[in-house]
Order: sequence, then structure tokens, then C-alpha cells
Amino acid sequence: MNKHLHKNGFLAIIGIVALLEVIVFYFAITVRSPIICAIGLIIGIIIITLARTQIQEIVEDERTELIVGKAATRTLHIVLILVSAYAFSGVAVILTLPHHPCGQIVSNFTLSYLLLPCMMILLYTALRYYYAYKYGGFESEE
Amino acid sequence: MRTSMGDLKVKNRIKVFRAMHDLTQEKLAQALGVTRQTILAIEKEKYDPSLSLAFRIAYYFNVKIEDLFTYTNEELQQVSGTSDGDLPWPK
Repeated sequence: MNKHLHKNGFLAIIGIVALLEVIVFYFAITVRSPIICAIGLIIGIIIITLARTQIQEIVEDERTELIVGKAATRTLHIVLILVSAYAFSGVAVILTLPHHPCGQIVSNFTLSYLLLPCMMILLYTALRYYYAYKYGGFESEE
Repeated sequence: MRTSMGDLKVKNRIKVFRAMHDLTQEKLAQALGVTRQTILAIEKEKYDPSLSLAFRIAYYFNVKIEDLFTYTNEELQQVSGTSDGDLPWPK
């Protein structure tokens, strides 16, 4: 497949998409519709992902994959710890202050934040098994 | 990687072969399908290439892989003083 985009062109597309995202965000606030904001963000990410596949120059290789992989793993660890700490401290707030005026808001936030680390752990485990299967490790032959 | 045999390090002569073939890092990177930064990192011995990339580099220069890459033990080299640090292969 022929690739048509130069690196600078790709950077220009990122800039335009970022600008459009700001406009969509402003519009979403004006019409009070968070769904527009979410859809705009997803479309923006899809556009950037598609544009990335059209870059002529080599921008990814085994070294960049290693760097991205290591950075992503470390980020996952840190985010998981921070989100879990926040969620569990929220649980502590609910249990210690059941009749606090902010109790309901805190409990809603806490429940949604508790789901996030659970989903991350499940996703990580599933992907871990997938890559272990892909790169070998389940075979018992010697 | 730390092993019982001390610090093992992959050394390479890519810069030498590149100079012999009058190649820039950019041209070599394009020919191998990697970024220029990867060639630079390999030459500076900050990144050990995969076996696949190591073979591709060797094929590109039409040499054996062991002419380009050596696996050395710096600790052994310092102790023996005579060896160039290359690991002894089993006979």
C-alpha cells in the first residue's frame, strides 16, 4: 500500500484535529451534550490513528516498540496504584462519614473509580495471556 | 543482564562497516526498515538489536553475524588480561 503522508503533514493533521476538538468541546458545553464531546474525541483519535498508518517515513521499529511497551507498562502500574488508592480512600470516607453531605457524591465517584482498576486488571490479565499464547509458553514439549 | 559470569555485553562494528561502505545512518536505516535513532542506539551500544535485525544488518553488509557482533564479558577480560573478553564456546 502506498503511503502519502510526510511526517510534517502528520503533525499538521494532529494540530488541526486538536483545534477541532477544542471547538467540539466548546460546542458540547454550549448545547450541554457530553455525548458530542465523547464522540468528537473518539473520531479525533480514529483520524489520527488512520493518518499515522499513512506516514511515508519509518517512525516505528522494534526499538520504539520496546520503548513504548516499557513506558506503557510502567504507566499502567503507576495509574493502577493511584486509582486504587483513590478508590479505597473513597470507600474509607463513605464508611467513616455515612451521613456526610458529600457522602453520595463521594460514593458515586468511588464506585466508578473502583470499576476502573478492576477493568484494568482484567484487561491486563487477558492481554497477558494473549501475548503469552502468541509468543509461546503454553507448549509442554521439550 | 547480570549472570554468574559477570556483565555480558554485545559489542558491534556497524560504524566501521558503515564507514567502509560510505553509508550514512539515515541510508542504512532506510535500507533496513528501521529509524535512524535505532542505528545510532545500536552503534552507541545502548540497544541490542533483535536476532532478526542483527541478521538483516549482517546480510546487508554481506558478512557473517559474528563479524559484526561479539558477545563479550568485560569482567573476564579484566581478570584474564590476555583474552579479548570473548566468551569461550563449548567444543
